[in-house]
Amino acid sequence: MIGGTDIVIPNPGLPVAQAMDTVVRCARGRWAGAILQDSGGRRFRSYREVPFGRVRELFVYRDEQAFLSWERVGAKPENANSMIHLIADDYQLTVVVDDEHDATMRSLVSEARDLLRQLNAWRLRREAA
Amino acid sequence: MSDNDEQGNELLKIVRASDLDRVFGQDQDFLLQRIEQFGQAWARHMAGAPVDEMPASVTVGDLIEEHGRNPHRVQTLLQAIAFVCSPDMLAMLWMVLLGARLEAVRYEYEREKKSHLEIVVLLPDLGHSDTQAGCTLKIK
Repeated sequence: MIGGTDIVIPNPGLPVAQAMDTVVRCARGRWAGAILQDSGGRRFRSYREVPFGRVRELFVYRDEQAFLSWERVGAKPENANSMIHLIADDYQLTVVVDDEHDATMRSLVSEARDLLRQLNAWRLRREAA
Repeated sequence: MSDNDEQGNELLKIVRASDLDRVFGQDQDFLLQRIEQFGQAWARHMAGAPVDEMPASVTVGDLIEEHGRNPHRVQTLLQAIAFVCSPDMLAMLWMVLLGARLEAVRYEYEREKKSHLEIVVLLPDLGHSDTQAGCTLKIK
């Protein structure tokens, strides 16, 4: 990343797979042609093929062009804010972005945070019932 | 033990893991019948859809396999089955879970005359937004 910022979103109760999927959906809502890749460098042919139950790290590129550019030149200024990096732990999800003040990144992270908060609250209520 | 029995048992394990055994109990037949109806609705909607991305059919075996990769998707589908959603509605839900985009929802109701729900989803095609194909589900 180009001086990336780690944004940690608490995830006390949601399974990692669901939490990761939720954030990827937020990204796909903004980047319809998003390209997904795991930490081992495997590029998924499509969103449907991602085994969220088996991955703990994902790279989400804005589109094919962004993916190719990252492959070609890596963390250069021209690639800023065209990819996010997701890292899941048992109780939190880290979203690594280039510029947290960028409008797209800000709205993406904000939506992801809201959704994870709601889904966690719903799950905790259900478990308490 | 037959393949069907094995699949049924595997499905019940998933139901228990999804905390839905209170709803379905040990009634495999009801669940299998609902999944079969969902599979028929799915195949009907997918017939002629110009996309490679979505599977042409969905079977119990497919759901068991998907549970190994994406348990949350299958759990969501089972929850909808537990709420007795119609097969068409389940097909729409599964499309969205697999990456389709909900584009429009229209509902018309007239007492004792009409209850008509129309949902438009955009199916992804290999992740490229410019080659999406539309699919409209009409649910009466």
